[in-house]
Amino acid sequence: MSTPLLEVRNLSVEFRQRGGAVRAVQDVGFALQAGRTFALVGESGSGKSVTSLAIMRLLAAPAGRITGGAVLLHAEGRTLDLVQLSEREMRRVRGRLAAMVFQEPMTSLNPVLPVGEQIAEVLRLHLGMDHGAAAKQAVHLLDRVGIPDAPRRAREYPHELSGGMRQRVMIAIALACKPLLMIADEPTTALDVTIQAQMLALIRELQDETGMAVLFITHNLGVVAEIADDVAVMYGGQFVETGATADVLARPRHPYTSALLDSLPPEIGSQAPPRQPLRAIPGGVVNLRAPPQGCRFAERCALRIDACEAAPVPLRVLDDGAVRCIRAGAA
Amino acid sequence: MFAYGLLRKLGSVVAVMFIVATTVFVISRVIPGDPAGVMLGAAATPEEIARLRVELGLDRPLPVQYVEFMGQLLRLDLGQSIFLGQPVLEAIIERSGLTFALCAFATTLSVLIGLPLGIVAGVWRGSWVDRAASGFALLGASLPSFWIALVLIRYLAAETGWFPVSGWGGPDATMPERLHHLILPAIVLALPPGVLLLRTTRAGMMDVLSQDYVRTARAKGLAPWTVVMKHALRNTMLPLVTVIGLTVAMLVGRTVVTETVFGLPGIGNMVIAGVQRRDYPVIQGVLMVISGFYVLLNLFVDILYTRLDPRLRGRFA
Repeated sequence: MSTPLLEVRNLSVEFRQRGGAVRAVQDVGFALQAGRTFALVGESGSGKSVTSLAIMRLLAAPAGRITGGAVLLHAEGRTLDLVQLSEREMRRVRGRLAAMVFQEPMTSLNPVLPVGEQIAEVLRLHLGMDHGAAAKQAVHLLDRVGIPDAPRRAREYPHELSGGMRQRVMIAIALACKPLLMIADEPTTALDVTIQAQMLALIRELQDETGMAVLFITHNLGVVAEIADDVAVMYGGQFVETGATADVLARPRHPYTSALLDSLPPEIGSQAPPRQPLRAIPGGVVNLRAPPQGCRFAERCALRIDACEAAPVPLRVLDDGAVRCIRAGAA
Repeated sequence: MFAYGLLRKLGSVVAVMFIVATTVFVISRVIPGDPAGVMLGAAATPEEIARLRVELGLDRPLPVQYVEFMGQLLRLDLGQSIFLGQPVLEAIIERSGLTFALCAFATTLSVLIGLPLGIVAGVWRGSWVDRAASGFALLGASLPSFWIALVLIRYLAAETGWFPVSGWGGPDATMPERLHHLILPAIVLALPPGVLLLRTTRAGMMDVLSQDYVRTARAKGLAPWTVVMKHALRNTMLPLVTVIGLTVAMLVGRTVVTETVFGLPGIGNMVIAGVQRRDYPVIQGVLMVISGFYVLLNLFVDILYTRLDPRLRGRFA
């Protein structure tokens, strides 16, 4: 296999708060090839969004900081460690080599600037276009992400656009400088199902066209199945299972992954017996301020044995993935 | 849509001015005392006073005076001053240059103080700059204007001679001379609104900087300064416009004290003299002009709002 575009190694993030530090992300690592899609899934508070913000070095300073690890971006014949870059160097990465699409299209666009300008400013900044060329390219990009009547829309403000259109604008902003990596942090969560499907199709289409790599953050396993080549399941700031999406979803090896899959609602029109109550995972998310010594999922796990809570469980690398469970392979 | 909204707004301006005129009339008449008595002094006989009252038209019933006053207003006539021997409007226009210059100067100063300090304090919250700005704000808000004025006059005018103690130069003083006279009064006037602006800017900045679109701007690779000045400040400007508008309105009222302390012959001084002499037309005229200014300023701020916030465009209400 060729060199991956993005390599995250042992990344850890801490939030300092009154009453102690919260280790939001611990020892996270993965590699992403150009043209591929890697999904981070987990429930709220699992550290998936923090991981993506850490990669872009957009953690809210000074509370959040990267405490260890490396984020290697192999671009333009060089290897950049994003963790080590100066803020000034990092600004040349953001928006140009790596771009980000956020969850809330309603609030992620600036309400007092026309959407065309919000795209054009990236083009002027990174590609050195003049005002006229940038404005023209912005219209072209709006058109490219499927916004009808783009020349008129470019002059409109975010509040004049629907949620789906705003997210298309966000994607156009991210796409503006043809980045090598697009990080999409729950880009479809705030949208209704039809628009969700359109958005996923658009991202895939753009990916085929540009060959960019996509890091996709979501809590929705259905979306993972649809878009990701590989997946990492996060729990309590750690990876608990990684592998090819098809393998992980078909043969989950970690009890948490199985539990997540079990709690999916049956698909409409499927053969599942009707009126079956949705299954939930008992208990609440682990307290990261004082995480248990052993397996972080143990207290909610139906398959728990004494050894689970005795010592930290390492992420065991198997030939087609990795899993953080002492019973893995045994079960 | 815009024209319709503007028309409605103008309608309410007229209604407000009507209420203001009535209030002004009532207030000026309930002040105890009477211009005829003041004019003729303590030695005047009741007959003399009564004769003068007839001359001034003050003997007529109040409703009649009221109707006449309103009629004059409709013709934009503020009446004749009892003591100045000239039409009130003319007297106001003569003195408004100074007051206008003073207010403009003070507004500029307060924006120059409040806006940059507020931005810096909001961006670097908790830093020494922020703490210094907060301390300054506390002082500025709690020290009374007349006291600041007296301190400035003593140390920067009387003892050092850097600034004139009072007045605004002779009739043929040059522009720089006049501005030199206005510096201290403008500082005194500018402090409280400048401090208010500082606090509003700081709070607005802090609020806006935590918004999602600021994170988007950072994710684009924009420099921190661009993020603040282009993406954050524009959103902070909305509440600021209101504060600046209020500030100017406040200033016009506060010039009364400042002009008195610094002996400036502006509208403020004129109204003080008017009150002391019960010069009804002067009191009414000045109050009407200041209120009218206030109302028009508010209208202007409303219109400016719709220019600044695209979400309000076409929704003029």
